[in-house]
Amino acid sequence: MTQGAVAAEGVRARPRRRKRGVAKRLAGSVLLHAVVVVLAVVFLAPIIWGFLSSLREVHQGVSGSAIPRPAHWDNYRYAWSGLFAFSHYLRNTAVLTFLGTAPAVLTSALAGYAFARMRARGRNAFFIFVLATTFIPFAVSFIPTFWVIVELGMYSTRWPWVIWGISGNAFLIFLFRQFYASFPSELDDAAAIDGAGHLRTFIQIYLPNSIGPLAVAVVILGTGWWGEYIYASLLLPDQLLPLGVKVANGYYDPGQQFALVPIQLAGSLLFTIPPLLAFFALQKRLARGIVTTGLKG
Amino acid sequence: MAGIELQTIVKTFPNGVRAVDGVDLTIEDGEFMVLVGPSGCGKTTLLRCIAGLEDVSEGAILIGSRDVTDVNPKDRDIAMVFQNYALYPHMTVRKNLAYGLKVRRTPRKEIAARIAEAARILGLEELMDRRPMALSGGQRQRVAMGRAMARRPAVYLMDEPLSNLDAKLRVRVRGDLSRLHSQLGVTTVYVTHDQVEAMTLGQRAAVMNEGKIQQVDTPQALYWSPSNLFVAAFIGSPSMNLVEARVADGCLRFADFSLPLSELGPEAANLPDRIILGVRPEHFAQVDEAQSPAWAIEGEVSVEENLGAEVLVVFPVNAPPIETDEIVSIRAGEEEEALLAQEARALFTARLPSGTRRLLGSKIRLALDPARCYFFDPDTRESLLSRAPVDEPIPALA
Amino acid sequence: MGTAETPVAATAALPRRRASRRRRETLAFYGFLSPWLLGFVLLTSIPLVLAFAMSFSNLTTVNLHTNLQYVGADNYVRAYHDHEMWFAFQRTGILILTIVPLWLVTQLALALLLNAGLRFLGLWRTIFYIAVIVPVVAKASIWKAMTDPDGGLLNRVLGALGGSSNVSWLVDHSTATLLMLLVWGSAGLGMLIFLAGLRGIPEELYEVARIDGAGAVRRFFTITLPLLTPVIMFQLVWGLFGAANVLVEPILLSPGLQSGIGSTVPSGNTFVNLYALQRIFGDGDFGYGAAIAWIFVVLLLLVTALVFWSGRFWVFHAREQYGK
Repeated sequence: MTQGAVAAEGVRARPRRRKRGVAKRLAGSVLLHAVVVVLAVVFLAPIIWGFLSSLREVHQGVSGSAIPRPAHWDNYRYAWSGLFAFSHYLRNTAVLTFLGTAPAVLTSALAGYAFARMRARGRNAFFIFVLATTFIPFAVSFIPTFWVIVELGMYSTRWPWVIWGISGNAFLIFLFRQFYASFPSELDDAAAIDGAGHLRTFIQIYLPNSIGPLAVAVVILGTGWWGEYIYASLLLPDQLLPLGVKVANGYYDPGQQFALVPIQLAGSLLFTIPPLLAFFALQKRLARGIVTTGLKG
Repeated sequence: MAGIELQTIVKTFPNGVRAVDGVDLTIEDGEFMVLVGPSGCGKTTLLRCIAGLEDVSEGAILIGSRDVTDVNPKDRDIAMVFQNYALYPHMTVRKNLAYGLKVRRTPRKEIAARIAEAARILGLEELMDRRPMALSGGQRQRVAMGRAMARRPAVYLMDEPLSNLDAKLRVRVRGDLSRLHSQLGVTTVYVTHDQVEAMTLGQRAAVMNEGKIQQVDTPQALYWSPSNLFVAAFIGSPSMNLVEARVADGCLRFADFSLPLSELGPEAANLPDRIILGVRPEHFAQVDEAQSPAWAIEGEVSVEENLGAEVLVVFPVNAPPIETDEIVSIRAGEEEEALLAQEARALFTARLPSGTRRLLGSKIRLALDPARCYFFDPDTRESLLSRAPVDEPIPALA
Repeated sequence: MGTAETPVAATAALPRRRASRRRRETLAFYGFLSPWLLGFVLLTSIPLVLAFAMSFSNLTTVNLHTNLQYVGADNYVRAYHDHEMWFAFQRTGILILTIVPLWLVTQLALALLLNAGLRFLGLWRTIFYIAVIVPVVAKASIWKAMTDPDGGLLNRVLGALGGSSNVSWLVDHSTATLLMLLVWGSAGLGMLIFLAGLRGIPEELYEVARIDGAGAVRRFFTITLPLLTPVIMFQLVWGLFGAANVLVEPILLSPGLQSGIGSTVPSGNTFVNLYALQRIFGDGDFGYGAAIAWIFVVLLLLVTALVFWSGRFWVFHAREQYGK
């Protein structure tokens, strides 16, 4: 075809824009968003329902009109101070969570650094061993752990949480090790030339650059400890109980042996707010953290 | 086998960036066209528009006189080789080569025949059952090419395929690509930021900057007859030396130098008061005291780089350096950030034959050839006088 | 004497110095790991060894600190003949077989959805992840409210759709209720993990496939899925363990007054570890409970090893030797 004919055809062709393609793409996008919205509603429904039901009249349970009229906002006040001092148990929860999370994140990072950057005999075998401990099913370990705690005289105290906190978490060790292994080794070389030993290198160089994985660790471990039920219920006296147990057991109408469902829901939701807030605060770092620590095979 | 026609292509991204700003280009059937320019000039975006991986905001694309602007990539009869090869890591070489053909329901015998042919031409026969992970960079590159070849498309599109290879390998594969093209004769659009590749591979090259084509021409023409300052500074390494000069009293004046305009002939009358003078580093000739060429400059050598086959000398010229946006972007693209603070004076580079003399610190005198000097308008950046290739040696005597 | 000798002395000192440096580093290494070791020894390995030993004994609340006798494999034989225990295994097996596929499918589906180029991606990601943050207790209360026979949301919806609106989920469909809670509660986390896996697939692979003519479905099955198999394996094993160790949720979901170890769990939800727990805290039969737990663990580890081994056939290994 000659240049002229080609050009002419091109000029004719231009007005026929990408109507077909755009329409199809738009329809696909609308469908996609519709599906996501529906699923989002399904996922939020339980929480919304829990909230709505927490506003019902105390003895109603969950029955009555879908949106409770009138809305008993004082259920929340009752949940806070009616049957027991919510704030006291809230403080217990915070203490236990802190004991179990703060040291654990640091010692896991420390151990992760050791596996990633220090040379020692048996290092790799030891790492596989640590990983293997995550395969010890809870089923077989938690009862004997209970025994040992009792035998050690730590029953009814917070000491088990202290030890769990100091001990760290094998999964977090794995995360940190993967993350630190990807640091450029020139950092270590520069630090060594500047005279820093391992501890100093870890504290002054690696740790400050670990915000992502640290956020991930805090969220995962923290939310786990915040809602912990089984060990707390087995080991702690009412005085030291966290809300994870108290909310389940504490909202009962003393005389009639009924569970005060709406109040319990109110208490549950109050209990959920702090981790939710922490999550929102750290959320951007969390998403980035999961990506950077990566899952290679 | 088909030609490509791009009609006023504009591509604006959602964030407002106009990556391609009105490109018109005709690529002949069977031609090897190189799109070259600094990073961010829009060459890769343009390539992806031709491929159909990006939609054009305005304009039309014709492949073989068929309007493909609205057509899906798979129906454009193209094949693409990516910078990172994009080989399917979980498939063997054989399966990688066959993928596109299987998708198109090519009969099994035909697939086997085409794969065998591509493997033979590219030397892949021993690698057929290996996975990409087990291949070297050069081998992966050949598989990527083989995958494109097996499809027998009308057009090959290549996005910087050599940039991940080490230097020596790059030179060799460059030659292979050339020979492959002469053998197969398929229309190819090749994107690179390396002007050496543009000069050696392309039958024609389109120099791009900021979404626009600056000049489309054969490599020779781009070198000898750049149409504007950008092309002149982009083609050729080390870059052309540039300095602003005044036209006064029948002479070209800059720094302490005065070059008589009579040497330029009647064309000189067309020059405005201010111009930018350009001289390529290889277009100097060193002269001693005895000789007195019509055009000569001198300076004190501040840097001497002896490359064995030649010597590069840098000497300052007492005039402010030319710092147009384009020059800055070219220099940034060459990854030559100055280590020390910018010199207040322009620095000229000259390429001289290597010898025994030590030039560092000494004063040198260099002759210029008016026929090999370039003149640009300081405001429009266009080339003022037409130039052509020159064969004779640089005149050392007036 | 003099310069001739000192070089020799210096080189002799070198290996000694190097060896001591290495020893110091090894010491520092184990020092860095000492916190973890402390917890592991005290609260993991000692209990495990103890449990193993106790499973061969007649330890009960009665003879806790008195007359402990070793009864050999008696506990294990008793377990073998215990119908209730096998029923518990059955329930556990059913749970695992239903929840793990459900988990994988929902998490992958959500990840694919969120990876398809949505606006407000952060919003959707947060919404699906919120359930993971909610503490177990709150999750249980919420789902008890959802499944209440007298007005739970599920029953209301069922009624609106024309079915029975009085379904007693917690009692008659206890496992189904548990499934809903578990899927809802973990979808977000798995979704994030699959999202990370999806992001790891280079966009160029899809572009080449598009140019080659592959449609969306074919691209999913020939590129996305094969390259996701490592992540799928990870989630499979994690899911297997998560399902096997489910303990708190059934307790909290059980209808009745106080939630606790002693609460009666509907038979559908009597899983093995719960059964062991009840033998120990309910009957006070520590030795027997320990034996049950160990049987469970051995079987679980066998299944896990099997799953790992199967990976050889379907998991894509990204790491291969160069020039193999």
